[in-house]
Amino acid sequence: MIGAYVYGIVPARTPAPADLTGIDGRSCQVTGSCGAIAAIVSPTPAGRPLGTAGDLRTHARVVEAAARSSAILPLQFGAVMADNDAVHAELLEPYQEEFADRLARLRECDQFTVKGRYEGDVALREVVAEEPDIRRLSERLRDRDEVASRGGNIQLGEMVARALECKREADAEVVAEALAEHAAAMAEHPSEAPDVAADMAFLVPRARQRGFEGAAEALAHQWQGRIRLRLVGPLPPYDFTQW
Amino acid sequence: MTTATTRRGGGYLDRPSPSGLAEVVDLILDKGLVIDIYVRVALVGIELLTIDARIVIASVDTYLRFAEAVNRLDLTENGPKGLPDLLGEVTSGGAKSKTRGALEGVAEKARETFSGGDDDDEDRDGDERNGHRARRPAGRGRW
Repeated sequence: MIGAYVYGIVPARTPAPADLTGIDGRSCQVTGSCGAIAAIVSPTPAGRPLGTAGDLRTHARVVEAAARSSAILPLQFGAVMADNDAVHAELLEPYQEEFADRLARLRECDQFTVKGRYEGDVALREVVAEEPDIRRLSERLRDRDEVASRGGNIQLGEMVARALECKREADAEVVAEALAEHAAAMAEHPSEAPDVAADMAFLVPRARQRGFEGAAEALAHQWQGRIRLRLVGPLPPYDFTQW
Repeated sequence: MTTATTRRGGGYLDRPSPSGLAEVVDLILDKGLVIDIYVRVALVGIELLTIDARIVIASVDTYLRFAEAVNRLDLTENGPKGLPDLLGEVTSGGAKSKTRGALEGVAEKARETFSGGDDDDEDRDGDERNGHRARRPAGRGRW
């Protein structure tokens, strides 16, 4: 049985991305319109497990190509429906107004993802410098043997973890303040990796892209040597499909 | 890895290509409109990968590592061991090498999908006994 792999939802009558191959090398097509919307699909054997690196890349490539020519509501990787009729009847038709509204909000916007990582041991050093309690306890524990200091070390580690958490919150706030004014919306990615200072996505109207990039560059400059800032984009609005 | 880091403009900002696998995994796994909220005919996702990936700080084991890192910090000059090294240790439990993490993880998940994936449960129990779950989906080179 042949199923329909769904990449995303686009405005009706969007031209199919030319020469674009989807999962398994099958060509992508835009389904017939359903009110103001349609879907980008490609045929796929219905029982075929998805999840190789190649599948993931193909999904990203198709969504990205579509995003260059129109607004798109990307679907989560791995969405397969019975056939094109099912896409129409079960996905597009029942939710067409909602999807059309969301698409309208995403028009002429791209996503940019910003991630900041502390350089080396900078965060640990700051925490020790800023919190005298941590410094004192660490100095007291340094020369003791492992068994005698276990309780103290658990306490110390907990204090450090908490202090790092506060630091990350404060730094993420700085990113938000610097960039939100250039964006239409913002989403924070929960991250528990302690060297991640900030991990956020911004929905940026194309007309404001330069301002956004300039602000990100200025922040990267300001944090040089402390936090390494990485900007990925323009991207399809993966984080703003519910917005 | 195909992630090409290009520096533009003033040059303080990293601008990696969004098509590198690490970026792709980071960007699209568990993102996007979830079809099963609406209707689900067949959905073979690999969303577990990112859920497992997050390092849980709240464990004694991890606290001890933080303490160790701080105690080893040489406060007068550049200490030998810092946060990235510490993370390397915490991470090494699950993801072997970090660059392999993304590629293998995805492939592994695909294999589990084929085979039913009992092994995975055992791995996870093991991780929890160690007091932390430490899988990262995406190798980002810097670790």
